[in-house]
Amino acid sequence: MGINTVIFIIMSLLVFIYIFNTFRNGRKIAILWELFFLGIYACVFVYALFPNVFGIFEGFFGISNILNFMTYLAIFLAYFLIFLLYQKDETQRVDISKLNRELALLKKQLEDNKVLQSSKKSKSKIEKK
Amino acid sequence: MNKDVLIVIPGYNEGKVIFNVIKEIKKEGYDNILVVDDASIDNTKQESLRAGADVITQPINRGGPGAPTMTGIIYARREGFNKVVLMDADGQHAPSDIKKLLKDSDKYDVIIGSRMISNIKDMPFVRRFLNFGGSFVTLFFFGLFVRDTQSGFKVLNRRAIERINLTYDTFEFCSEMIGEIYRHNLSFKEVPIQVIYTDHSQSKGQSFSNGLKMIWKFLLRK
Repeated sequence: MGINTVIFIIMSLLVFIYIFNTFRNGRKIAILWELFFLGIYACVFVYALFPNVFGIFEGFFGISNILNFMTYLAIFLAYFLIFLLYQKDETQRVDISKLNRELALLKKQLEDNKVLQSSKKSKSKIEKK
Repeated sequence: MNKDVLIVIPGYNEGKVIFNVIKEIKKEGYDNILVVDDASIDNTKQESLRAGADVITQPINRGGPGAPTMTGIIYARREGFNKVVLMDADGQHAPSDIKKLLKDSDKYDVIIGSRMISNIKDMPFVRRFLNFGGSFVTLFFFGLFVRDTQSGFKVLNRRAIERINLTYDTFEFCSEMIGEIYRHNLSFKEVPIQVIYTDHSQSKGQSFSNGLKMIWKFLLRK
């Protein structure tokens, strides 16, 4: 058993334990993501133990080497994750803008009310005099 | 307060010119002027108040005129204004054109002050190119062709004020507004306006890299 195989197995087991713990603790966020990574690391685990299993993909995409296939897959996934991050960032940007706007409008409302109240007070003082 | 027309001016670091811009608008007989300050670090707020405008200051800078414009529209919606005139703070729009734009605002929901109908030769080549590009990008992403999509001089009537919702913070809001016109089936008309190009106004506005960023942002949303 080579060092790569050991690393792959340890990495996969750590991910399995992490995902199992999050399920056990009842955290329901990003279940789809956890399943997605579970699938990925299950593949890594199987590949570590039985490297020839993925031989069926060889030549399927015109890629003769399984290592190349995995590199392309990793690059594709990295781009996909960047795209998702951009989208998340965009959603948060819109939310921050809404919050910013409401704060600005609230401040304006408070300032207007202050002006109104002070003008009422000064009016009543003049009337009393 | 007469709640017929509200002039909304989104501004960021316009302290040098905002006083004169507001004074010129006041000379035309419009008293309801709202400057939405996008967290300027100069004296934009003080100068606007000195000129007699109302000011809303956003606590965080959002990097462009989109966010403050929407703040102005929401203010008009909540305060019950019948019409909103959107103008740039850099002084490139002639206040004398407001009357011209308001003239048809009872018949149309949105009036767009267009720089691409007349005086097109006065426009710097880069801006002309960007505006043409902006029109085609807007057509592609939002389904409506308008000659000057990037114009910041617009009039919205009550129907438009209630319907238009902008989510982009920077210059993309111009194209998004065209998309909102299309989405809500609002009627619109382009009216020729004059543009005053000064060194200050030329230093503001859009660049080619902004255009590319805009396309990227539209792609992310689609």
